[in-house]
Amino acid sequence: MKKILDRIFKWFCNPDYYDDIRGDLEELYKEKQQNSAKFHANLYYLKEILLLLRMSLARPTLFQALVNQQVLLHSNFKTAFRYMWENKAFSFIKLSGLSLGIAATLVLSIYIQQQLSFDDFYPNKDRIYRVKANYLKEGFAGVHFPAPLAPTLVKDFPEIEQAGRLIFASWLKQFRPITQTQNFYESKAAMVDPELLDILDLIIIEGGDVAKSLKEPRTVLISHTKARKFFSGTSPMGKLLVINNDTENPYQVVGVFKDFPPNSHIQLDFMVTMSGVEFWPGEKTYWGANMYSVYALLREGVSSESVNKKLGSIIENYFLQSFKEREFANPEEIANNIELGLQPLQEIYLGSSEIRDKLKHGDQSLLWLFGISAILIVMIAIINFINLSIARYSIRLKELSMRKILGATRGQLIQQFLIESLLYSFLAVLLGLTIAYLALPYFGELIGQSLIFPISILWGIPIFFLAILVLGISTGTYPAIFLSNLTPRSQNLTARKGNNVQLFQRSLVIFQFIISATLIICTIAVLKQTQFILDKDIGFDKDQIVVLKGTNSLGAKLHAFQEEIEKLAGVKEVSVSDYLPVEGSQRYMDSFWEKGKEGVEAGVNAQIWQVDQNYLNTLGINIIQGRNFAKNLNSDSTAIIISSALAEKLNSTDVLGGLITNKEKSWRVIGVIDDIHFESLKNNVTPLCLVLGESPSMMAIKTHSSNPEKLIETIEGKWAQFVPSDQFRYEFMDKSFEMMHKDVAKSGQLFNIFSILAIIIACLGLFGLSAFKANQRERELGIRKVLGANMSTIIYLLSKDYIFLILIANLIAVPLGWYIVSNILGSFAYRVEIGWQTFALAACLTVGIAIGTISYQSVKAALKNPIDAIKEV
Amino acid sequence: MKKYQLGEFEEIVLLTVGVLYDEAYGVAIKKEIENQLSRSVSVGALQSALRRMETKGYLNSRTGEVTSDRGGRPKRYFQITAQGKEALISKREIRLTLWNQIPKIALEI
Repeated sequence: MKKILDRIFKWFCNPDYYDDIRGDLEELYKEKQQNSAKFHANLYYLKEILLLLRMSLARPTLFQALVNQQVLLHSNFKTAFRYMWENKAFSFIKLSGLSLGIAATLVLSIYIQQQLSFDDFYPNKDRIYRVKANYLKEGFAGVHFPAPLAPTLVKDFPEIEQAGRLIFASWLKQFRPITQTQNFYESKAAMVDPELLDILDLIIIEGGDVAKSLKEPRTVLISHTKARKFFSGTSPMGKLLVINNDTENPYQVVGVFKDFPPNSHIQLDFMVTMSGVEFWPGEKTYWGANMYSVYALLREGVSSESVNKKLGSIIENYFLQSFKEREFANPEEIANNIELGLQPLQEIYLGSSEIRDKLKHGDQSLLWLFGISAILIVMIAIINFINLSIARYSIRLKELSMRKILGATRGQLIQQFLIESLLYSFLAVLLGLTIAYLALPYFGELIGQSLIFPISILWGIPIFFLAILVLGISTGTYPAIFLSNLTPRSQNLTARKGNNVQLFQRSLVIFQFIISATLIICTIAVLKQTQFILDKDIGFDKDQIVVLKGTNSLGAKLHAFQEEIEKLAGVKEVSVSDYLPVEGSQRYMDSFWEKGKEGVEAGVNAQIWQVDQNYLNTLGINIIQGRNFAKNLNSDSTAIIISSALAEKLNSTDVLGGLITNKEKSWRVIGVIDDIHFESLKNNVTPLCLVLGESPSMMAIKTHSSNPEKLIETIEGKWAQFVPSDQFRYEFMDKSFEMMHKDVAKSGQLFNIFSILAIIIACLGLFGLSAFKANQRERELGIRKVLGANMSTIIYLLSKDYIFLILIANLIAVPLGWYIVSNILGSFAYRVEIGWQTFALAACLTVGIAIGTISYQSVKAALKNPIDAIKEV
Repeated sequence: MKKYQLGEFEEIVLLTVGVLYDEAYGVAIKKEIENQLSRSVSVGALQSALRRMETKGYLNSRTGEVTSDRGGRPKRYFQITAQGKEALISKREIRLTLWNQIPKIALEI
């Protein structure tokens, strides 16, 4: 403490006065120390020193320096600009590396910020919760509940102000105003309780208290966009909407809500009221069917934990009761396995990895990866900048010596370099902002999310300046201290400057290439995984299948239409089923037992799909055992075909020919088929069984035509004959399958971009460094050439250092990359093996790219006429 | 009157330097003032007053001996110059003149 104070005083005090005042102080301090504790002495000393800091005792140059500062600043800027201008190529390398790094980081942070902002606009966001059920044994959670849960929550818990149900109604597809005949196909419809509108508190454009109006049966709210689309220009209030061609029971529009912002986890265009709706008689009091998402609004000041603790009573009083009524084998055990809880609204988007709720979710681990990549890229860029700044020092030796000889202090030199790097970082931030601004839409398109550049946000401006300051200081400090530390004498000895610098530069290069190599390893792994998934044997043949949608509009003419299509040239097989193994088709989950074991064993959860006799042939599904459904065989109406996963789970040696049941109905197993991967390959395959049934809204057409466009045109012609009122909609199944796995493909692409960026920036640095090294050793190389060195020797001489460094970097990157890759791929149930080849490939790539970068300079140096290098002195 | 500029604190310091005569260095002056006037004096205030009066020419200084309890630093002894003496005298005279002009009745409070 005292030492610091002495230093301050020495720096401040007029040297003429310094000695004796210090003497006095010393004397007083010693005396004080004898009489009182050290702490008090120090305190006293501090007081005295502070009181000594006055103008009349100050060093005269102290204030003069302040006056001179402005002149100095001016001159510093001037020299900085001159240097930048004089070495355009070098400045360009320095600047572009830094601004690319800034741009990448900026884009990433905007993305991260956008992901974190999900659902933050709901006025009651802190009080809204979604009810979820943890299944303790299975380790996953569900968010679908029976109809009576919502009213029961409000009744039983005074802490809960409101609770409302929501069910995404994928079956509500065809919409039209009653005055029109042409249907619109819409996908974002849900049925909701009126209470939900109070909970979400949406912005209502027309309709006022919509929660109240929704209490009337057969009412609907529509979004602003759809209001304009359906009722262009006129007010939709009170108009009638026909849904799914049910002209008898139209819905009345009672309100228009502002479209959900893109950062809402709920995205809806139509909200149909649940009031007066029961899907079957007695549903409202039946606790056995999990169908609805339930949102709850807590009262002000109530913590979710206190409610969570009490929610167990719901299980006890209602669910357990229902299990007993339905005569489950061991109802207590099932009940104990369920734990109800409240999930905060803002955690739904990012924190639902264990929940299968068919909503679009963000990937938290991906966000982390992005965040880390952003930091790493900016670090590479800064390191580059530092490295390049130091590399140029010999060029500035003369200037530095001159300045020192003319009396520049070290502080002034440091200031000069800091100003220079501040100038660079100012330009880099400006450039980086521009690049980020221009690149953002493309990036948004890539990740399938519209990103908004936060240009209007006020805090952007101070952050902008802060960024410049931090960047400038972090990139400028080391070079500034290092360069200002050289004495004129050592400068005259030129470039032979210490091992210190070399060590520093080398570790920076190693560090950069560790990052680059790690990113490359991750990229290769993710790309391999993507390819693996797209190529995996998925149990059915997705190629050359056209899926027609909305075929239920054909009504009774469906089979006539099917026959027409089957007759077309190029069509192999046609199957009608809503249950197709791609996203966007129907699903139905149920529990199954071998006949006689129900109530004894736990059931096996499996999908049960209604298909027709052509289904297996159309989709090319392989039958392992038994037979396909036969046409015109009445007994097949109670036949079932199961997947091998289900056969395995049913744990029966001889399942073929046996009976399986879901407690309501029994089927005879006539065949076992290969497993079909109809969900994302992140998850293990779900067991499946197929039964005969009418599910008329989709038609899969297997073609073998060389001209699919022509064929589709023909089919469209037929469609127009059969249903002139409806749009013709179709999809290729392989495209839908790719869509299902687009998140994998997307992260692959993103990694690709980042690793390319990282390596570009690292190579910019390497390029600059090698150019400098070659320049520095020009004369040496010239002499070597005269003495008979050939070109390869010279290239080898110039490259070997860096190659060695990059190999070291790769060695370190291998375990690092392995760790990250196993983390990324860990979330996939089916994953590709990452062998040594991946790491070798990454190493070859980095070394190769580095050699490419360096060799330009080395070849240039090697080709130079030695006389040019040697003669000028 | 304007000829001799001497602030109140400066005057005290100058007088004390006179009192101590040959022993007037920083710490001694500080202690003397603190004892006689029972007020605390900071090194900063004292030193800045001393240096100011030195530049004004009221004080002279010489470097003294080096002692170990000063961390090897010399003492600086101050001495009143002729100009300093005159400044003190003129100050005292101004006071006296004013004193003498006060009617007796004004002080009978």
